[in-house]
Amino acid sequence: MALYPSQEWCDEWKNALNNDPAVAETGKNWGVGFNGNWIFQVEPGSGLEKTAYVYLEAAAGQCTDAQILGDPAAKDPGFLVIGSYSDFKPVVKGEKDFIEGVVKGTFKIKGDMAKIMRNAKFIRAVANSISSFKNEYLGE
Amino acid sequence: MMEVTVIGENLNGLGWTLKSLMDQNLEKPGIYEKVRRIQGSLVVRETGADVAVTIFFLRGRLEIKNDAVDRPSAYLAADFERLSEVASGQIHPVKALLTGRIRARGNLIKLLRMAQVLISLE
Amino acid sequence: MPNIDDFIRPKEWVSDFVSDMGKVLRRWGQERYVPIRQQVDEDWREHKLIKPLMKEVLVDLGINSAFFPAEAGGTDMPEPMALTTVICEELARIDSGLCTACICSVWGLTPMILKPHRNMELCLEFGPKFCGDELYVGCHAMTEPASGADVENMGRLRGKTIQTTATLEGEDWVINGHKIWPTNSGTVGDLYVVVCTTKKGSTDPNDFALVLVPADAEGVSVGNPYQKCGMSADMNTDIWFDHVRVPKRYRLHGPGDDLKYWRRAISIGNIASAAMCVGIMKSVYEIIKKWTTERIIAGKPLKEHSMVADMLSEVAILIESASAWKWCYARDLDHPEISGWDPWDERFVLKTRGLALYANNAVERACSRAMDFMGSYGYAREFDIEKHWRDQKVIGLWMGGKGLKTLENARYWYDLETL
Repeated sequence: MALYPSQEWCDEWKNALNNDPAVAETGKNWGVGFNGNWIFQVEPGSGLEKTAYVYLEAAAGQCTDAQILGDPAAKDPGFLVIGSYSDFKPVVKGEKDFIEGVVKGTFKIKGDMAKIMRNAKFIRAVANSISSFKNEYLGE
Repeated sequence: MMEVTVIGENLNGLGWTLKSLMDQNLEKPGIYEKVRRIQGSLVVRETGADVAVTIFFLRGRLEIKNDAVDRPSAYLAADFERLSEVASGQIHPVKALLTGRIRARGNLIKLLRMAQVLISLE
Repeated sequence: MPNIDDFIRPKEWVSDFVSDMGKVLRRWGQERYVPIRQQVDEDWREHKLIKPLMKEVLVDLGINSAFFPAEAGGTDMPEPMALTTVICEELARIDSGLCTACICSVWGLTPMILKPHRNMELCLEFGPKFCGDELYVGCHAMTEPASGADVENMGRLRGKTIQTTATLEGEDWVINGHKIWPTNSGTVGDLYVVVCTTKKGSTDPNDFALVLVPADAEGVSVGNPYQKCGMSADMNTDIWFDHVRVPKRYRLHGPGDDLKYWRRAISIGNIASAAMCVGIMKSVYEIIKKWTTERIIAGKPLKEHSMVADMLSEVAILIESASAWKWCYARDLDHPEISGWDPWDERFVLKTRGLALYANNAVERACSRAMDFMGSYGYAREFDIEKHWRDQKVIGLWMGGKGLKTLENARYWYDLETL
């Protein structure tokens, strides 16, 4: 099992995304004609000592890259999601709903909200895939 | 540039999502004209997280705040996916209403006019 | 397979928004009204069922506030005639009495609320009531015991028959008179728009006055509802005004302008009446189409018999022609920059009389022919044709009746000088 967050975990997530028919189906138009890449900025706390940046490159229903970034400036994502480790952890575990977190303001999203809303089903599918494999967690 | 003003404390995620959407839409020609003459309030509730915001239409100004006011001009409720379908123009608000995808109360004519600023067509 | 939405409705003249409102009304009617349609027909005296229905249409669907300015809480809809036409068609398709009651709530106020002749002071005073959460109903009081059509025959009689007077005493108008037949009278109306004269017997257009009178003003009394052969949702009673005092500002405009902008209301009434007739005919079309498809006579559907096809064809032609004509005039009224006439132009009054007359005759003919071919089934309550047949007749009787409509139409087209 990979530790969340880590490069090994990113590799597993990429694998899960690319083997998920729901992601492929709902993400057909994602990132087509616009920058559909993400950085998840995981803020410290609950065992995470410094901010971690998870980069996800996605377009046309496929994930082409998932990695931990040392320097977030190295990539130019279309979307940035900011949240604490203690808030991301239950989502990765499948215990809490990512979209509910966005709606409540637990997670802040920066980017073209029209694209998010047009592809809400894809966002849901990506969030579901994140909890589709077992992981280890800091502080546990 | 016309933007939606945030009233009060930190806006919840639903509010930020809708504000971002409305700010984008207001940049498009013709959208501001559609809502400029409207006076009223619209409560939007996301039923999944049970989070609401109120959008005030003040004849040329738009404001948004957390939570639902007591007696809005109109009220709209749906889960995030359904709200997104309407907001992204994938389904017409009237069709969404008629097929039960969204629930609405209040002055329907006014609601449909106010909804025009929430809809982003591509 | 064609349906009622295939009859003429020029798409470029009807915005998607207006079309969508029609769909909402249609759905509301189907779900909310049709299941209780026959009980509503019996509710003419008490309005126990009708009142909540009116609230749903006027308040919840927003028709009461549609044309009030935004400053007064309204929705300030553009192209009022296009929206009115769709509303009238859809509501009349299910019940022309309910349609009449709903549309007449705002009809009398059109000289006050429509641009460019809005009386903003009065809009701000009464707008919150019409645009609020509670039902508040308008009533346009025109007809009097001595004259109905004569009141509307402003072109020739110029108001000389109007007996209801408005006399200025200090800062008040004092209203005295007696009105009969207004839609939404009795226990329904909250605010009357009263057609008065400031000088009995006068033919001076400056003496024609439109004055607002709250239904609960001292000196106002109403009679019991008339029992009519149809249009149960339209309550009609006597209204007496006995030294009723209202503020001076309650006159909608002033000498000359009251009559001028009232003409627009008359034109709107004519077109709306035609739209109602089209709505009724569309319902008749649906009923007879189903009937003549399902009823098998001599081994084939009734519609495959030539005499029946003749009737069916006539009904379709009546709907198409009335619909096309109605949309043309609705567009002209909404777009003076195209028609070249102000919406209050007297010529619109005269021309729209012709439309109203044609539509009145068309709906009467359609209902009657449909009933002929449905036989006793058409005469029975269950099949709804008889309700339309009963309801539609009054559309021909109001707005001056067929006599005035005929005369004014001829007056326009043939430059009549004495009629």
